[in-house]
Amino acid sequence: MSSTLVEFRNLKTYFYTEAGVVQAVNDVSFSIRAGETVCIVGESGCGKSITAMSLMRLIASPPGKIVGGEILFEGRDLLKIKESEMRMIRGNEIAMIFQEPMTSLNPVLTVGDQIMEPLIEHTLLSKSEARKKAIQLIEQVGIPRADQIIDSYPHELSGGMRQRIMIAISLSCDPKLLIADEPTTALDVTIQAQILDLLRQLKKDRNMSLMLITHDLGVVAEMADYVVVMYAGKVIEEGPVKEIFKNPRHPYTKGLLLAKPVIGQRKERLFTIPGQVPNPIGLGENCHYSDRCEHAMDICRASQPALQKDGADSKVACWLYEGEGAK
Amino acid sequence: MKQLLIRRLIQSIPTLIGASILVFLVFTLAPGDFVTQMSADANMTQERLDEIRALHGLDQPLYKQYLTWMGNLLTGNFGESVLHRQPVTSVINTFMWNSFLIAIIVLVLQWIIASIVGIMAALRQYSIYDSAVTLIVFMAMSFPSFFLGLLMLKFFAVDYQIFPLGGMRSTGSTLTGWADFWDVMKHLALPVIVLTLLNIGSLTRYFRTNMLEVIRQDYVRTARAKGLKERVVIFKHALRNALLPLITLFALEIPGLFSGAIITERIFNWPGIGRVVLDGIFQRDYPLLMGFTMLLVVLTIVANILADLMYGVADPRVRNR
Amino acid sequence: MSHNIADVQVELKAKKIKPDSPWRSAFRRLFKNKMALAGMIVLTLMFLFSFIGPYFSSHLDAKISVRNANLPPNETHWLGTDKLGRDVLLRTMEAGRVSLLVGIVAASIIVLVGGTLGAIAGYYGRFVDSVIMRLADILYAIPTLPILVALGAILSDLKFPPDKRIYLVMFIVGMIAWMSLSRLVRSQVLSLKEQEFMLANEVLGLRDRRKIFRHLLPNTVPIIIVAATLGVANSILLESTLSFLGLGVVPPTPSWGQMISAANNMIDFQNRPWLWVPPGVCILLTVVSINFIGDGLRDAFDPKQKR
Repeated sequence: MSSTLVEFRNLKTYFYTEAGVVQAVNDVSFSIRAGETVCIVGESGCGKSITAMSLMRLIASPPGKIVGGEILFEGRDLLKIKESEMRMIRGNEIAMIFQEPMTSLNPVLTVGDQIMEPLIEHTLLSKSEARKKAIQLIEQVGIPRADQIIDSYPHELSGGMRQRIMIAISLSCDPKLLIADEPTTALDVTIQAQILDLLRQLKKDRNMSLMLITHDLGVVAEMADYVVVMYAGKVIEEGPVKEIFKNPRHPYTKGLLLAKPVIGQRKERLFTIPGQVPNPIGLGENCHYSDRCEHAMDICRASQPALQKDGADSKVACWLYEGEGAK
Repeated sequence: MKQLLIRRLIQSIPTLIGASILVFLVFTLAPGDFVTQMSADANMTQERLDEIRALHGLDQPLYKQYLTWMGNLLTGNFGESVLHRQPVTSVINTFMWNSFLIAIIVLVLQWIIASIVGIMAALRQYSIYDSAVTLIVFMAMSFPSFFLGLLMLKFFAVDYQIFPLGGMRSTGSTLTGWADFWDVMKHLALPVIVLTLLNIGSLTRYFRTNMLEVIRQDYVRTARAKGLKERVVIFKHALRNALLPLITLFALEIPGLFSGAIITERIFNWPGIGRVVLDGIFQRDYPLLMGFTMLLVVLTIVANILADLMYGVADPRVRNR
Repeated sequence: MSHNIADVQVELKAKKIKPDSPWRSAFRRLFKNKMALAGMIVLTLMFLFSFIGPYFSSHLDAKISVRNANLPPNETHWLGTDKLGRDVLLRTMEAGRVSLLVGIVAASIIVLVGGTLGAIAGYYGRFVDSVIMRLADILYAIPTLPILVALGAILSDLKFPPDKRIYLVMFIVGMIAWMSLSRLVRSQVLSLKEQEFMLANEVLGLRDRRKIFRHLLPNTVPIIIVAATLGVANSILLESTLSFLGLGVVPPTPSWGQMISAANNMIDFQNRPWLWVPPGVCILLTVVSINFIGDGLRDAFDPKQKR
């Protein structure tokens, strides 16, 4: 088994808003191993992106604040190092691409300029060397006529092209971990597949880890080695992708899988999980999913289950399985 | 770019004509012209008054007067100032540069101070500094220009006598060279301070708002995620975008360089075009007023076109269209 | 794409849970804004001072008396007296009525003219739009202050009775400043027109008038309220400037700007600051307060823009 690259330990990231404290990420622990693709799954607002932004230490403060926990990257706690040291990691060892390729690139700078920036910041390349590398990168992400594209502005490119440019930027310094926050959500379906293929290919070539944030279980099935399911700021289930799809344990995970349409199986109605994500302000001590859970018991409404080992590599936080793991 | 320029120039013609008609009507239909003022003079006979009227074409039908006036304007003939008994162009030329001197200093000061203060406030949003800046900005925006001028004059010139009471040079000054320059600077200080204070509010606010707007953008997050230095993130990625809308604002300030400051020049007795215009208003010097107003109309229209062009050059999204 | 449907359901239900109308939440935000709150308090005091204040003055029935002229502030005349022996404090209160009134009426004109023209231009587009917007362009191109002052001077020639002049001042100030609001309303209407609920109205076959007044204008109300608030402040400033130059409100009607014109007299300016400082401070306080409120309103209506 390969070594652990990133480990989240009891991460807590809160947002202090006028309406109250939002526990966006509440006691989250999981790890990403070298060369592995970990998918973080959950509905919007469950804390997936905030977890990733906490890893990058890019939480806007105020109103956000990392209030507790550790994030170990190659054994070093990123929450304890100086901002200047963190800056050397960002874009260099950990890179990130975002959901909105249309707005994630600076409209007044050429794409070449934007690809060369991290190279000049983090490596010893000269400007002309950086430019050569940038052209290579543009070719690597599958854009033809790289030597012309490098001097174009973002608005001259399509959404898919821009996302490829974002990927080129993120790969420029050969990061050990690439965070992709819903990289395909804003794109057309055909482009989505291309981008995912590209990411998978690049990941394989470079043997880097990929932290892929998505709410699309199709993407998870395609890409993931390991899956972390989040709900209302907490990890409620995690495990190898096959385990999760074949043998989901948490009622929420089961619901997510049922809600996914399967080709060849037309149903009268698609399954929907009843109810909605709870208001993130002032969550109680209950299991946050208990309101929507068909198996909810008294204990679910009274206290939270802990994330516990259940099976060889899987963990689940649900009272239904409490005590089973010890069996 | 060339097409844009030509299109904008053509578009501005009706605006120019409309404005000229409006200006013409306001001043021509006004009851009482300078001849009426003359009639107070007992030595004036009705015959003589009619003669003067005919001389100035005031007996012609309205549309003819307009066409004559417009024709003259187009050939650079702005008519003769009644008050100064000189061509309007030379009156404007004499006094405009005094106004320009103040205006250009104010412009430079205002942009430097507003950019620094506004950007700092944006970067320290919600801090005490930010609140203090907001408060001061609002005060500056809310001060009536004449009241601020009077207060400054009372405080700095009357009570503490740090600066002279008004004018451009000391009375009967025969100074030359550096001494003269220094004398003018001392007289210039108060009006410059007042005008800078008055103008700085809204500009600071623009800088702050634009910067805050830009800092929230996705591409700034991208820049941070690349591990760039905060200085680079702010000045290369954020500021460039924040400055874009301000280019327009800058271009639109150009007419202000030449328009003079009516109130401030009056209070500080500065021999600029604003004061001349105000005297012209009190004395019904309509040729001067019409000529000056039309000059500003043209400057405003030109500045608008310039704003579009400058924006086009600065923003690649517009440039390549 | 089942999750998208789920998202929509979530949103719809979330709205049911929090029955907070946009208006109510806007006002809640407004009252949380300290500066806006301070502005509202000061402005209320200013109104009380101007409209109720005079009734508490012991000089209300005082006759003009030269013997009491130009007294510095003292126990009976807290802010001194002017050259006709009138109590400056009382005069400042009475001037406040005029200045505030001019501001409010002028702002109403701005809203009425600017709002209507903007809505019409945006809704009908094409020819109507180009005519109205060209007119706005023309008025924009003419420098405000010179033309305002010139109009003021022309008014003086019209031999309007001094006590009626105030109405003309309101009118000019209003007519000279409606363009920016009309542009704002127009662009808002243009973008609303593109939205789906207007398309729905089109399908339903509603009449133009109904579409404009029931569906479009209410959606522009936030813009109009903000513009009206700032319009009051701006109009008070313009009126005071005109009156200071002796071209706006003229004696015997007092206004703050007109009181400050006492400073045009060198002796009054240098030696009798009580004549012109109090009305100046009143203008400043009023305009600052209104600007704070206007800014608070803007934030309250548009929380996305929140700074």
